Order: sequence, then structure tokens, then C-alpha cells
Amino acid sequence: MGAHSVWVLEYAQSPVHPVSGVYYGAHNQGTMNLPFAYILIRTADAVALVDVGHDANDFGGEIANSIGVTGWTSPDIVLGECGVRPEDVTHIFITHAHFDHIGGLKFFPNAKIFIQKKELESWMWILAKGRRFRSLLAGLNPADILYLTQANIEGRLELLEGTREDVLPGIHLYPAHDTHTAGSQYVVVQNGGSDDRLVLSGDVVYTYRNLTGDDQLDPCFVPPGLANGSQTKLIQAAEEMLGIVGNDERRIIPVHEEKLAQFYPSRLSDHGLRIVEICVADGERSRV
Amino acid sequence: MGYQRGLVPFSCNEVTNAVELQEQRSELETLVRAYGEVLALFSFMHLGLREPGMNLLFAQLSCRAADILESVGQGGDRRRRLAATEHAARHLGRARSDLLQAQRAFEGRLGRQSTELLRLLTRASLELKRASALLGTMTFDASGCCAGPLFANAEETHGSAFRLGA
Repeated sequence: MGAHSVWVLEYAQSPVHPVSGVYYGAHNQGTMNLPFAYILIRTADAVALVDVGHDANDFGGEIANSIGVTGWTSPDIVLGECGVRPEDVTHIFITHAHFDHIGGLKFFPNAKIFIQKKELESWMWILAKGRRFRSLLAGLNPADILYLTQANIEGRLELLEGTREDVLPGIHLYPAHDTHTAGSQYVVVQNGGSDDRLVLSGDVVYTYRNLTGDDQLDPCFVPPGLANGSQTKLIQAAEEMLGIVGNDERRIIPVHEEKLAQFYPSRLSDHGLRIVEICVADGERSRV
Repeated sequence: MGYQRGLVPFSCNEVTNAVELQEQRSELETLVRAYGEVLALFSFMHLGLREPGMNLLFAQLSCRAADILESVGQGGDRRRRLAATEHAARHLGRARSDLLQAQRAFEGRLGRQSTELLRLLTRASLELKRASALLGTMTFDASGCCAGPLFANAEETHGSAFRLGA
């Protein structure tokens, strides 16, 4: 128990995601089910999201269709499972600007948004280079930038340059630059003492297999296959995360990990979406 | 009337097997992608204008947008359209108009009048979305996206172990 409740909320899934996109070097290993989710953090004074999914009715939905994503469900239904309305969300921490992490911003009109400045600068650089560089634009929905612009005008956008400790009490943002994307970041939730931490990894770690490889008794980092940055930096960031949680891999929460339900309490919603309860704050009730 | 492509895929197919229709549709699809790229460039430029230290790439983005707008010229309006493509061309014409107004605002550094610029870009985005729905295409170029089109990249299973070259 502690000050923060944390739930991983599935909002869609890709039953046919190429394994090679998730694990570097894993060629010709077929496809796998990949949950698409965001993370709800509830404290006494704030309702925060780590990433916001995408909007199926926007271009993000077309990207999603092209990679086999199905079952998209709107945030009011997804968050409703935890008694939260989209307009209640006060803070949004964007781990990176891929469509399935930033595309749902329009649903959260009252939230302040935190993203690494380098993430946006890198997309600007790529766009300025022209069409020949478009493979580096993979996963970006340019329309999402319009929503960032709108949030900026409304004073709801904060561009970070590196680490931000205590963005909310006990919640820290750390850069993982040149990893999955140029300006990725991850979130650390500190619930009690220094040994009670969770790392919400974004896509720097897709699944636990990125941390261990195939043999948990002889673990080997296998970084994500889809990355704009360096495989070495991905491994360094994963090592950094392990250090934060005292090498307890289960305290790293990869948002695309289907097996989270094996390690944490969970249930399926009426819409067939998985709700995983990572921890429940003092005074908060379980939602699973 | 809404254009909910994710829910109700729609494209104009009143005239089938018509070479002229195919040519016009292809031309308009090219325009959608071109204007989509300009919209993306302008969106980042708008964001960059308001953020100290983020406007270093402004000139490059501006030049690229100008090149694109110049290269596509008035292609969307230059000849009589078949009924099947006329509607989409109209939306593209409006998108172009909004983007050109935005371009003038940027050139005059009027971009700081953020609300008006955002209105123009949002309207251009909607017009592009409508045109792409009518044409059955995507607003932005996703050819380099993620794993690419799903079925063109289906992977066979040839083993379960990682082979990293060791």
C-alpha cells in the first residue's frame, strides 16, 4: 500500500503483431498478440495517465488498421472501469510520440501534458529532411501535433529537457533518449521507501522477454526490434530501469506485456479488455 | 455528415474501369499526401514558434513546405473533374487555400497569432480527412510505417529461439 494506485488499462490489441518488431533479431518467428494499453495513476490529488492510446477515427486508426490492431475502445469506457472520466485526468506523461501513445490527447481536455522536447525536435528534423527519410517517421500521426499545438496555446503543454523529479509527489520522469525513439522517456512511481518503486517503461521495454531473452535463468537483454535509436542505448536504458527497481524485473511495467496478468491481479471488462492492478493506494478500493 | 473512415470505409466508385477516373484519383491522392506533409510541417512550425529554442529548424521546415506547395501547384483544380472525383477535389481546394493562408501567416511571422493559425490548420486537417475519405486513401503517407502494411509483411514461423548471430 502507498500513495499511488496504478492500473494498466488495455484499450485495443493486435493479435498478429510481427515478433520481429518486438524483439531485435527475432526473424521468421511469426506473429504474436500485442496488447495496446495506457496506465492510470491515481493519487489523493491527481489523476495521471502514462500515454493515452490512439483515436480509431483519426489517421492513427488507419495506422492501427494497417498493423492489425482491433478492438479499439474509447477512453470513457476504458477509464470508467476505474471510476475515472476523461475530463478528470489532470496530468498526462507521454513516453513517446507514436500514434498509439499520443493519439488520444483530444479526449483529455483538462490535462497538462509532459513530453520530452527532444522527441518533438527529432520529428521536426526528420520532416525537414524530406521523403527519403520517411521510414524514420514510422508510427507518427502528424495530426497529433495539432493537438499538442492546441494544448500549448491553452498553456497545457510542458516540454521537458531531461529528468523531472517529483512532477507529482513521488512520480519522476526520466529520459531514455535515442532508444525506441529519439526523445523517449519513462516514468518512475515511488510509493513508499526508496525500495518501493515501479518503472513504467513505455516502449523502451515492450515485454519481459526484452529483459531476459528466452532463458530466465540465464537472462540476456533483447532490445525491441522497432527503434529509431540505438540498440545499445535501449539495453543501457533497460539496465538503468533494473537498477531503479533493485533488479526486480516484475517492478518494471511494460505496457505491451500480455503476461502482466500472470504477476498482478486482473480481470476482463465487459468489453473483453484486460485491467491489471499493479498497486492500490491507502483508502482506494480494488478495481479487479 | 461525418466521415468516420474507421467505422464506415467509403470511396467513390460510381464510374468503374475508367482510365480518366483512375488518373484523376491518383492525382488527387498525390495531392492529399502532399498537403498532408505540408500540414505536418506547419503543425511542427507552429509548435516551434512558441517554444524557445525549438525554432532552429523553422527555416528548413518552411522551405520544404514551400517546395511541396510549389511542386503540386494548382494540380487539384486544373481540369474538369468527373463527378466521382469532383467532391474530393473541392475539399482539397479548400485545404490548399487554408494551407496557403497559413503559409502567408508564417512568412509574415504572424504565426504568433496562434489561435487563428491553429484554426486554419485544423480546418485544413478536416478538409484533408474528408478528401481522403472520399478517395479511400490515407491523409498522410504511412508507407514507411511500423511493420508496413500487415499482409505484405506477414512473417512465417521458422523457429522459436533467438538467433542473434552468435
